[in-house]
Amino acid sequence: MTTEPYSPPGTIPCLICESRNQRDALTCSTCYAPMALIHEAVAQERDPCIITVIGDSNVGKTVYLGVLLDMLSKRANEFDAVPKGAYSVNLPHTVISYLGSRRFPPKTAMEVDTWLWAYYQVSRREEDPQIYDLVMPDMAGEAVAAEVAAPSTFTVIRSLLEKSSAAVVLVDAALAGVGSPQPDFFALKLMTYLDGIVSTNSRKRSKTPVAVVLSKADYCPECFDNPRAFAQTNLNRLWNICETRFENFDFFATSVVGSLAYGSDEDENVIPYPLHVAPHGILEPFEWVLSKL
Amino acid sequence: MSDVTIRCDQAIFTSIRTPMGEGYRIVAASRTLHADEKQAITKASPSHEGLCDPEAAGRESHDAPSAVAFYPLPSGRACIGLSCAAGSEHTGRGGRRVYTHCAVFDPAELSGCAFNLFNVVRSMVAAGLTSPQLKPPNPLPELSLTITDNAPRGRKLGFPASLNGEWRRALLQAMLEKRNLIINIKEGWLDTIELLLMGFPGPLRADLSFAAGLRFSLGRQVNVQLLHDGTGQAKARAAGQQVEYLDPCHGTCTSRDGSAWLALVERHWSAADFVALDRRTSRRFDDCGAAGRERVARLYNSIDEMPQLEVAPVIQTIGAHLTAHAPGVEAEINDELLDACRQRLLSRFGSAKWAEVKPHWRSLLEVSGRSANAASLLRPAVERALRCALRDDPLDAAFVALDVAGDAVSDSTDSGLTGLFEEILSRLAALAPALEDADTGRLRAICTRWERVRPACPILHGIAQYITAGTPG
Repeated sequence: MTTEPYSPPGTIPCLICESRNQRDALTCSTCYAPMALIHEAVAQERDPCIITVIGDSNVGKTVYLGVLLDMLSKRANEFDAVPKGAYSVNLPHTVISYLGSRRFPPKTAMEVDTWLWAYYQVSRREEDPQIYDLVMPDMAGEAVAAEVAAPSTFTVIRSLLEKSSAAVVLVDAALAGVGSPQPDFFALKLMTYLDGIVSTNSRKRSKTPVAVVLSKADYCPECFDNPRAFAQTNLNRLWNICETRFENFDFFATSVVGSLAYGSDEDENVIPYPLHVAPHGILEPFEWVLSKL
Repeated sequence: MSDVTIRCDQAIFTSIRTPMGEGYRIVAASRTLHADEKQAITKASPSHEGLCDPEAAGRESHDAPSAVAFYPLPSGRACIGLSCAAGSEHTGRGGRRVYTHCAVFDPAELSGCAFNLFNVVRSMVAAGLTSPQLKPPNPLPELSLTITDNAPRGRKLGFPASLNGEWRRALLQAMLEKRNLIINIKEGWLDTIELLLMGFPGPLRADLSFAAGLRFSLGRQVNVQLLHDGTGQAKARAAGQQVEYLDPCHGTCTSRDGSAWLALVERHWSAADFVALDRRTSRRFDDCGAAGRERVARLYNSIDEMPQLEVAPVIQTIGAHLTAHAPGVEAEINDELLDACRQRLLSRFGSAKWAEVKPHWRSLLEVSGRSANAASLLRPAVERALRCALRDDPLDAAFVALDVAGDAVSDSTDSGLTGLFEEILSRLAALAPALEDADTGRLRAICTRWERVRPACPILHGIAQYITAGTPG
């Protein structure tokens, strides 16, 4: 005989970590994910599809996610995207507003309860389309790095990946293109961590789709010609682990800005200014992921 | 408090670019910092835009931190993190870089620092830990902090205007009850938490984790977060959580309570007598529970009320506290109270007329006679009372002195009273010729009684001869 776990009256489970929370809680008390997600999910009466976008600090996760959601909202490529809850619009709103004023959006803080989450209902504009309820948080790269280095530092990341139907891994192509080993090593750590979570058998490759997005590809245009070749050459460790441990993976080159200008601040840090927005390769990884779900 | 040195591990949590990566993380740490300690520091430390202080961007003098956090680590050690702004964010994405320098130590060491965390904080500042090291050596060396009695006597500590007495008491009560709090105040977070901590019995302070001057985060998991919640986001995120949101900026507090401890602390806060408050609350109390706190506070309150008390309640207080059997520090405070009572009696008897003192003579003797300790404690007051009588009514002085003369004779070490008796009797001898008939009869009765306790006293012999012969001896 099996029994349902005890649920205190007046509480609801978090969509991400399943901890019980008070009905009036705005944030899960365990993993700090917004409880609005579960309210929306209950209203949909179907399990949402979580796609997790992860990557190192300053790799471009916020900009990529914000522009992607904005393009979906604008029916790019015959997609139809409906934000579930006004909070879902905050991320694209922030990103597009900043880019419109020729600035990159501020860094995402490590504090989990400050992250912006998006919950969109996405479908193709066709008859009887398949509907995907997509949940995507904009995580801080530092939090991802801390969790990869010491698992359970940020439990929400592990919980999210455990529940994810697919992952989008962002890698800084600009850095990799100039020979820095950092993006390759970080991506290797990330994929190892992901493998540990999604793999059920150490001998079999995982079926979870993983789209590796080579961000800031405008710095190295050859990346657009053949992303796989670029990865094999410049991100060889990443390529190898993908090939060994994942059945469904592919590489995509992406850029958001058309041209950049540079200035410096009072501390002589180099400040890049996006002069205009020219999204390139934003939808392709997303379409590929949907095709694999 | 004598100077003490505590040995700490240290860690720097900030955002710099290194060959190993970029973004907020522990960029340097002592070799002996454990992995689980690093994990806890990573979760609790502020990252981008994590400081409340809106002026932090323009004020980087580094003579004081913008924010302070104190929390326990899984290893059992404790961490103090000092945060400040450190230039602009290196990625060029706006905002100031937040720099946090952490000292990790055994919380038991706090007892040597008068239980005052801010003594440690000031030593960390003096050691230069709020001057950002953006190219720190890694590993960092072990840190030796010399903690001096550096309570900010010269600097003006104070509560912000929004924290009136009722709010202060309510906050302290909530903290003593170990409730998790978010306290919204516009400024003065560090002063406020230091003063609130002074309202805590010293040994309890290490059990209270807090973040002062950091933006709200549920992930910090500290007992108290003092911050400015200008947008109301903290209030919204606190809904449904095991945390209370208290808003002195916008709310009123009407709660009233009869706690002696809160009254004691508030009295010192109101008088800005922080040094005395710190001295009183930072002792090694054996019982820091609610009942123990109330007992201690009642003792202190009695001490503070003493200058306003009349003689009768002072004697009553002595009677009530003579036989108290309190442990450790409480016994010391009880002794302080008894000493204050004695001082008060001496002060009152020094300027009072005998007619004012005389009504209390019997009760004074009654309490004095309860034990050797009581007699010893009250002997100066008895002596002062007798001098008072001697000054105003020598005949009466000789009469009431008989109440204690027997005891004094048996106590050969009591030269003070013996000398006083001689003064009284000598004065009597000098007065005898001028006495009227009615008083001569009383004098005779007094002398007869004195001869029983001092049979060989030559002064008494002289008086007796005068009474018998009608001439002075």
